[in-house]
Amino acid sequence: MSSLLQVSSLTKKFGTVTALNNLNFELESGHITGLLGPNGSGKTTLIKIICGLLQPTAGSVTVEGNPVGVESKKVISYLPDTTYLGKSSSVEEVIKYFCDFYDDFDANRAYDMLGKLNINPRSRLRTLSKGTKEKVQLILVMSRRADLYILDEPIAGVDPAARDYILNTIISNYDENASILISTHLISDVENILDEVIFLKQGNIVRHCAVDDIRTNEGMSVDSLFREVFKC
Amino acid sequence: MLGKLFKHDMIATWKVAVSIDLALIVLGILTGFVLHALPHVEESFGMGLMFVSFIGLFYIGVIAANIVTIIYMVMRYYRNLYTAEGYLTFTLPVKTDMIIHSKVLTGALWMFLSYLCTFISLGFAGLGFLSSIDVPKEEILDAVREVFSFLGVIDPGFMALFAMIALVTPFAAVLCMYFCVSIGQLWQGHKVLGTVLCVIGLYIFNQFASQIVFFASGFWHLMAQSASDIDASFPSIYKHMLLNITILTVIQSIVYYVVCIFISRKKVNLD
Repeated sequence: MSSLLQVSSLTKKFGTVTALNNLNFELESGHITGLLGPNGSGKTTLIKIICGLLQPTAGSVTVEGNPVGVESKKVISYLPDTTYLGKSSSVEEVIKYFCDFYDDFDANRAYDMLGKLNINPRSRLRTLSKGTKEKVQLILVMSRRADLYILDEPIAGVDPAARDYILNTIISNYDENASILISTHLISDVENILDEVIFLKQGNIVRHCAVDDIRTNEGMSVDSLFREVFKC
Repeated sequence: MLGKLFKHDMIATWKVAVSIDLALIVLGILTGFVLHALPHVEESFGMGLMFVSFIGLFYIGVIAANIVTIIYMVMRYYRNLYTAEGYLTFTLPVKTDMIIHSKVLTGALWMFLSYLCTFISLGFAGLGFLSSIDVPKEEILDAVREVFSFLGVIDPGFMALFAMIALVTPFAAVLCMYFCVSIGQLWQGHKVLGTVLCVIGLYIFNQFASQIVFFASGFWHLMAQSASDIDASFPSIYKHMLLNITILTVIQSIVYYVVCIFISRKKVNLD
């Protein structure tokens, strides 16, 4: 297995607050990894650095051997935890935008998913509900043939039915050679799709292991282990 | 990739920007008609009021059109880069510099067209006025020539300077405002307030800087001269002032550009 993502001695400080403290880990191709931790543990900060939205204080990140930059952004498909689409555009226009900038974007796949959800591609984003906008974003992200999907809290704040749809969309639309890094604190919902987990606590990695190892060695679910590790 | 970014920026902005420019030209044509027709209408208080109102409306409209255009460009820059939309903008597989270049080019192009439409609009209004007064055209042309001669405008050097100003001003205008937005976003949680404070601070600084340049360009010397000497020396001093102001504007624009690039590369911190 080749290393898709390599994080070395990564530290991020905001003033005197250390958000990430000397993180070291690697992700290999073909895995779904859960980035798990309570609020404020540094999950989003780590993701932002990998995606080039924040500069690290120290350390480095490489994606397929490339530092964060144009080449890494070509292979990362990122879903942030916020709605990032301009309100004045239509869904169709956003699809054209993605087609222009991402060589790996599959417009047919996007239109197919929109059709299944009865979302009119000509709809203006400002007319869509928050939930529908989130689904459009997920469709855009999962319509890319990326090597690494980074999904930041994709199921937070949505109803259980929508969670199922989102998780099904993720599972059924990613290439088996690609990897997914999924950040969440709703462990029980994603547990069944994860291959490995990274537990992040106050900017430190406290656990990085395969889900099967947790079940075999600890005799408990990821959710149970999470509750034990992060007990208040 | 710059071409693609520019294309999408133009697609996103053309409707609003063109609407403003067209409104400006229509306002100029209407004002021209009013100025042309008014002397032929019987004098009354109402007509006088209408005349003054139209001139006032035209004046406000011209200023507002330019302000609205730049505010629209700045709002887009802020939204695209430093609000949630930045999550998409900064994760596009393009160099960050290209994103800024595209925004600057788009903004400068629309500002240039806005200035051009302002001149066209003024031209329509001026034509309407000139066609309404009972002064021979030759006399009007003579007066224009005299003013141009006094300012030293009829000179290849001045023409080149004017072309440079026309090219530099739109870039300077958008870079100045993008600079303020970039500085403002460093103040986490108060990005808009930070931008506004930066605009005010920069405005005050620019007032001082331009005054210094005016005086350093020979303005004092001009004030101390007699009326006949002023006629002789004004063109060269005027040209000197414009040149120095242009150089100052270019230097400032380079600083604005460097800061915008630096902040977008190193200091982005989206909410």
